[in-house]
Amino acid sequence: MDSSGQFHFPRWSNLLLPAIGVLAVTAPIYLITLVGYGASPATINVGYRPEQPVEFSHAIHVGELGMDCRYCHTTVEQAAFAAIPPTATCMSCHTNIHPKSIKLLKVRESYQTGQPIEWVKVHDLPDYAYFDHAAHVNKGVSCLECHGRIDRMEVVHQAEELSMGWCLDCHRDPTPSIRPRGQVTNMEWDPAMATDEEQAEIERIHKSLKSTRQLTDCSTCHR
Amino acid sequence: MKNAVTTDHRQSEPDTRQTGPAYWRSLEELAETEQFRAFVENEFPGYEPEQFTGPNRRQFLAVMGASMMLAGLSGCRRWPRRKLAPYTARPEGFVPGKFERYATAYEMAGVAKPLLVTAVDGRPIKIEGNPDHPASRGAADLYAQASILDLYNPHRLQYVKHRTGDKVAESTWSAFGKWSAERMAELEKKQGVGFVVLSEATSSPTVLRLREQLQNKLPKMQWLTWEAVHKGPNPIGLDFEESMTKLLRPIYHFDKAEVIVSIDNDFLMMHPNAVQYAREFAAGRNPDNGRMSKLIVVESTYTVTGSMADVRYAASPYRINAISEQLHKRFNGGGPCEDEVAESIYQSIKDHRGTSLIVPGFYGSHALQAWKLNQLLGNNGKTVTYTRNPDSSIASTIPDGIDTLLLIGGNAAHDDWIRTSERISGARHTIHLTHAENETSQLCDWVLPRAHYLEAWGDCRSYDGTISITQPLIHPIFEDAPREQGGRSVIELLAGLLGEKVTRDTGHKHVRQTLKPQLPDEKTWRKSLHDGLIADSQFKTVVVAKEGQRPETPNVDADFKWVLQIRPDYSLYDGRFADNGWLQELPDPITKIVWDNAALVSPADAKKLDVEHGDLINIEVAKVPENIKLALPVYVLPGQADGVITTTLGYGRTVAGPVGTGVGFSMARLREGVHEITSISKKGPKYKLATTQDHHAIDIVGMRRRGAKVGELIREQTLHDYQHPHEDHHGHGTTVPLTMFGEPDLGDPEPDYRWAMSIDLNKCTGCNACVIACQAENNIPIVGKDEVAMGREMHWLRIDRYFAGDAESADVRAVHQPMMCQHCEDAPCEQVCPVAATVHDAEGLNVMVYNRCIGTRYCSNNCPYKVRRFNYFDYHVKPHNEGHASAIHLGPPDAQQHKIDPVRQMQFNPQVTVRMRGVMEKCTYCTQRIQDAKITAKVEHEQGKRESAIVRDGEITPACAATCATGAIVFGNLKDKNSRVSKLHHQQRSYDILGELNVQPRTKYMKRIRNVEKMEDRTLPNEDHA
Amino acid sequence: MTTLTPDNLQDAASANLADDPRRRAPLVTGDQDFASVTETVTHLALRKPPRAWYIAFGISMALLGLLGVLILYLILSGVGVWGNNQPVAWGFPIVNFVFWVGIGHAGTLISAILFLFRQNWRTGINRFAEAMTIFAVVCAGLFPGIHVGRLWLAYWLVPYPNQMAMWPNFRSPLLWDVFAVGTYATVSLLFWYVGMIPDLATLRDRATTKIRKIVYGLLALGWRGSNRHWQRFEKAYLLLAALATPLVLSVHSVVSFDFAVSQVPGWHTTIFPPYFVAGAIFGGFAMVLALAIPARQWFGLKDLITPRHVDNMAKILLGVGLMVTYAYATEVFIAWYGQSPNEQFAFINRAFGQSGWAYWVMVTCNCFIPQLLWFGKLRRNLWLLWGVAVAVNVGMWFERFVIILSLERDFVPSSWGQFMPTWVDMGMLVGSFGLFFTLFLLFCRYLPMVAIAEVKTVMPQAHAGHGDKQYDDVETDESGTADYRIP
Repeated sequence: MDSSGQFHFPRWSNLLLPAIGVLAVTAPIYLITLVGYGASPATINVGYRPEQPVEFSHAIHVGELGMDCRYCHTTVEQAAFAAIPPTATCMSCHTNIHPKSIKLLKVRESYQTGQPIEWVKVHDLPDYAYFDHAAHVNKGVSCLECHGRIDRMEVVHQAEELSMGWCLDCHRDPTPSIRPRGQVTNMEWDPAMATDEEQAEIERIHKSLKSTRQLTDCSTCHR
Repeated sequence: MKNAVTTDHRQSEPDTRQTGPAYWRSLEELAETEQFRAFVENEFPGYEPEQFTGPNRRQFLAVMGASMMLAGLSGCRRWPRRKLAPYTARPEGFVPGKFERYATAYEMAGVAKPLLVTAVDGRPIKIEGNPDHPASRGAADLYAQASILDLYNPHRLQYVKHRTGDKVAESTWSAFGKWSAERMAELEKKQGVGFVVLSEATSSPTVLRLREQLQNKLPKMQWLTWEAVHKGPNPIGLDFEESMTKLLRPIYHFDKAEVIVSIDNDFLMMHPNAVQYAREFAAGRNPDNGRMSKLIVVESTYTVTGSMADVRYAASPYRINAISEQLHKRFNGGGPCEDEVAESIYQSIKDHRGTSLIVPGFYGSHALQAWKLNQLLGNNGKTVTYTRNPDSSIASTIPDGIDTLLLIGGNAAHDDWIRTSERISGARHTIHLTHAENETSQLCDWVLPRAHYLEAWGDCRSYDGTISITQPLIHPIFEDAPREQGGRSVIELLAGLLGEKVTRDTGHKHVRQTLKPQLPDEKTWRKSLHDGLIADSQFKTVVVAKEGQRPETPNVDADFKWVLQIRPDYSLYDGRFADNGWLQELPDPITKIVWDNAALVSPADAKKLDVEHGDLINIEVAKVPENIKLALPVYVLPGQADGVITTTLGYGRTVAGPVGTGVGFSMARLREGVHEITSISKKGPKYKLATTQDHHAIDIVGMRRRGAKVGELIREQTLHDYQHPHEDHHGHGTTVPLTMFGEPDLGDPEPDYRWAMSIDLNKCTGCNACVIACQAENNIPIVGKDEVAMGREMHWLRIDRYFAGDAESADVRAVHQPMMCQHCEDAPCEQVCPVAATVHDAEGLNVMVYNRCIGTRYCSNNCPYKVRRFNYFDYHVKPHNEGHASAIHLGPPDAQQHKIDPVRQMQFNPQVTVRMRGVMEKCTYCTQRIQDAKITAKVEHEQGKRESAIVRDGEITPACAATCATGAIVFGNLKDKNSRVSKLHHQQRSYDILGELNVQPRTKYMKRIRNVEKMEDRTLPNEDHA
Repeated sequence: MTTLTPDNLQDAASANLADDPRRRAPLVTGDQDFASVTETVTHLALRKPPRAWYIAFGISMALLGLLGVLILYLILSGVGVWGNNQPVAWGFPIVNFVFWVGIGHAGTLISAILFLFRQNWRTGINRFAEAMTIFAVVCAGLFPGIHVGRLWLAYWLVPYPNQMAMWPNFRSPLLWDVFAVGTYATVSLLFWYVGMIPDLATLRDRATTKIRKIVYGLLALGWRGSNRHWQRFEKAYLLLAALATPLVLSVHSVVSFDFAVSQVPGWHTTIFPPYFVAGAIFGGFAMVLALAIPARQWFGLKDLITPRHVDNMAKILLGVGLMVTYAYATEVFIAWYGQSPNEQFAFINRAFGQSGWAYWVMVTCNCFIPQLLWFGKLRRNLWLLWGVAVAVNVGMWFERFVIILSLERDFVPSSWGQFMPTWVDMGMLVGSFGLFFTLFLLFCRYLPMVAIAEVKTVMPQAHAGHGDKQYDDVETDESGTADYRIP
């Protein structure tokens, strides 16, 4: 307000000009970072680690004891769902091993009452995305690709973002994610160590795959 | 958008080591309704599957995959936290989430419909026909398919109701058991005097055996069979009582006949054996292999069979009787018939001895004449054979002064309100075993919930007598622990009345016992259970050596009278399906009316009566003691016989749940058949008839255009022209594909498949079975009458019915054209979608990605076939009979689906996304089935179980094609030059619809061929009373 | 034929046909000087508005409230509350969208094109015509936004990198719309605002309340009327005018592509782009007239918006109306000439089918009624002119409605239907007028309705030989009439 009672920009407001310039440049960068990173599935989903009713450790069972994934998740090679093992599977060992462990109380209870243990779903795709375990596992896509180093997880968490863009990364270039079918559940397998035979199988699978045009068709995942 | 039904592995172990109920399920916060909570908690109590089929077999029957989306937030994730509840011990060989198929059968009106039912995670979700059964060969009619909705009807009767005076109280099965034991003891003392069982028609050997046992126990009891629809009384006065034909069941062999004459018999649809007949009829009508029969139909209203006719005559029931009579005289050496229709039929069939077939209708007295005509023509034993008729004893009324009345199923009070309801109310004790409460149960003391056929053991016989076992695919949904609530089957009820203690095993035990002679050991039992039929169990063929006594020639009343003809409804049958939303919203094959019945009036009569579409008319029907007055809305139907007003049964139900109550106009005071009208008058205001086609009366400008257009959309040819193609002046050239752009990039390597479909208009009868199949397979909601009237029906697959010829006269042809997404290679919808929600895939499918769709509806505008459907509301949630305000949902819009009735959700196909509001949808060629087959082939190939990773021809069948009795729809891979669809696409009859738009549809249609000399030869003018 | 003489021309306040500009009617009448012009225009903004304003504002706010409630109802239940159906998947919302976009054409046309063509009579009306444009575009932008089934996802129309790795479909005309309308709205807004800066400074200087002083002060961007300010202002204004001019033609062309690019009979025609632009100018001018006539009456602007302005606009209305009529005729001719049965039927059905009445409303309002404007006497009758303008607006709304109704009967007769609007459709149409008038009345109340500075330049006082010289750089032609000071 100047002496005439009118509003005029005061002299110091000129100093704001460079500030406005800086803001004009940084604000979009900030916003893009905020939305692009802060709200991305990579930030929101990865690391989701719900508490489970039973303290089951994949690190012990897979990592230390070296059990194969398919021992428990039996349907993974035949069906869309890699079924959660029934309580009976747990009890086939735990009738003898740690039969009285406090941690296994709920398992024994479930076995006796027939009431299932309610696990919390960790890897939860939207219902309009139809993922098929069998289709992937049989084409040499390792468990590792989506679930991460399960053999090192005390409590399972989501290791990958499982977003559409993330799925497409692989569907647009599947080769690096393919390994011999025999090594699908091997967490330690290293492509650099592949034998000639294994290399040949990888190539065979690669050839049997559809073009990336088809792998990225909407109908591949959405019904 | 979230799919309302998730496929969590809701597996449970029906553990057998424990006794007593084991509640394993916790539903968290979503299951708000008291009813559902009770239902879920009572679902799988200590269930012992060994009782059924031995250990480790289908233990999953115990499991209900009623998985749910659990609402509520957890952490910062907006979407819900979901739980996985695995089995405690998974049955061997059971793979969660995989579809399993089981053979069973559905008995309707005493005839079994053999089925193959798909179940996932222990809940049946889809019904198809049993491919091994001759009555089905994979096809199922619309009633059988829609019956799955009855299973998941949340308004089913769930518990025993007991009425004392005006009070209705919730009771239990054991209370009823106690009461009935006392009653039975009392009755036994009187040898069953005053005890009447009124049962719906049944062919079940077990029920018949138990009936016999009951009869032995109570020798004087009366067991009557009740069906609303049967060869009803004929008020014209031509009925034969106990005539020979009533004792015989004719079995027609349409594939063997060269000329078929149907005298008012709608054998392609409204016949207990229609599925088989339609298939055999189509088999005999292949213009490409030279076996093309000729169908002549005389009928009074336009029926599905009439629409397939080469030559069709519209005639009133009087004239039909006369024709029948004159034909008979003519074949017995009389002179030329007075009636030119009769004469022309005579000329058509006289030279086809042994290769023609006269099919008599149910509404006149033609059965005996037809038998004689077939005998004279030498057709008996060739194109028609006979077995004994198992339902010869259908009661037309029930006696007075009953002490204890047991009603098994049915709805006698509604079917014959004037006479029967009085008798029911007059009985001292009344018991009704019923699936859902209806008009009859309102009059009864004890109302007992009846198990759905997918919940209980049973057996039944198909039309030819082949026995099928009905096996349960799911545990009774509303049953609780000690079998106090929830449904019981007829077998269980009768066993209980016979003093047995009813357990889980009762039904199974009785069925096995009955079938012991046919299935003596476990192996044969297992086999027939698996196959869905007992081989060689059909009725024996009867050869009638001696001619039956011909009754007096009835006087044919030549005077013109208006008659009201009441027929079973194509959708609701006799009203038993009134509570089935799918069927209520199923367009009538001819009129395309939904949610209503109407008075069908011929155009000439409409002029005479000065009425038009939707006008209400009063009809007075002559009856003793007093005339009956009815009000009905008019529907002007081309091809309707003059002087005949036709309407259908099954509407106007007063107690039929929230779906069926008060829909349409009741015929309950009259019955099926023909009634003389004494007066007709126009009544007050217009009535809103909702139709899925010709939504509004079309003006002259529109009519003219439609007439021109039909010829382009529906191509027809006479058999002669077709077989002599050089004379084809049809002028429909092939379209030259024009494109400014090169071939689309399909990727490298090129895909193995180019999916395509072929629809044969020569085979499609318009029976609607595919519409229901599509609805069941693809989780398609119903929208309600008002929404249909606005033009918002959701059916992905519709059947367009066109009339050709002069609509004003009876001389009008009808053609059915199934219409769904044509999967255009150059799809107009794809170009205009701003968000790329509808795109092409490499295999040629026009893919609709629901979650990408924002609902601009531009694609629908640009679709020349108008096959896209838009979710204007969340129709699964919005009550179909309430206004738009009932669609209001507070909260995130995609959470609205959580409000879908949880019982209803159980029917959903988990392989198909449930669409939310604001999303476009359409036929996908059943992409879920394609993907499933492709993945299975690939996986099995990788595992070395299969030679090729390519899906073979016939391995994928979309839901519509799977259930098509005539095989009109063929789906397959164009890349495979030997596939059926490839061959059909290159067949001479194939053409594109709207090919001139250069959209290059992947669905091609095949010309309809008429077995007539000239198209105009089709019919004769309707000269009934001109 | 009467001979036009300077004498009888001068009599007419609307005369503008004389070759000699001195003989033309003045663009500012009355005894206005610079001060009184300023007072006339700022009076409304700075003093208590007339009662008419309050009444009008009350009504339009009520209608705006109705629109708000209906939108809420729509969001909570679904787009089924409208009458849209199969086959008419687009109904009122798109009709309204195209209607309002059309209205939004005149402002920029008057501002930019007339400016470039040096039609100095535009000064009296350009400001509120521009404002009208902005508000019409606001109304237009609303409808496509809410018409989508899942409007909370409407942002997917905008291309931006996302986790789905999805881009919009650049082949879709709807996407072109997003860009076209977005660009048009942005440029129009800038053009309006830039042109208003000197006047905002005037308001600032005359404001009495503190808040107004500050707000106008901020909006005036420190304008002091210095030579340098004027120079830059004029350069910017000229550039924006040049930028906006092609947009006037492009926006409605692109909107017409929504229809022309599809294959619906009756939509798929190449004449649509020019036809739509002509229609838009037609509707826009009609709306300017419909607003200007009462505004000059109620808000005391008779001296600034003179009969000459009104007469000019009426003539343009007549001219564009003829173009529109020609377009209708061409459409029908091409349908006949093209020999496509579908196309032919679409036009026969339009005129004589079940919804033929709408077609005849359109033809009457757009083709026949404007013919009255051939007569000078009728042009000078403001009541009648206002009536014609309103009729043209009605007709132009029906034009879009008729186009949408082409969907009722396309290729497959089994799917023919009928469109019946629901009360929500009606309510939203009326409500959109509420939105428009609310914004417009707020504009009248708080912003300079007439370009004060520009009007002054067309006054005699602005020129050599008239009173105190305010500017040194005014160019005058021989006649002494000032023209724009374009460097």
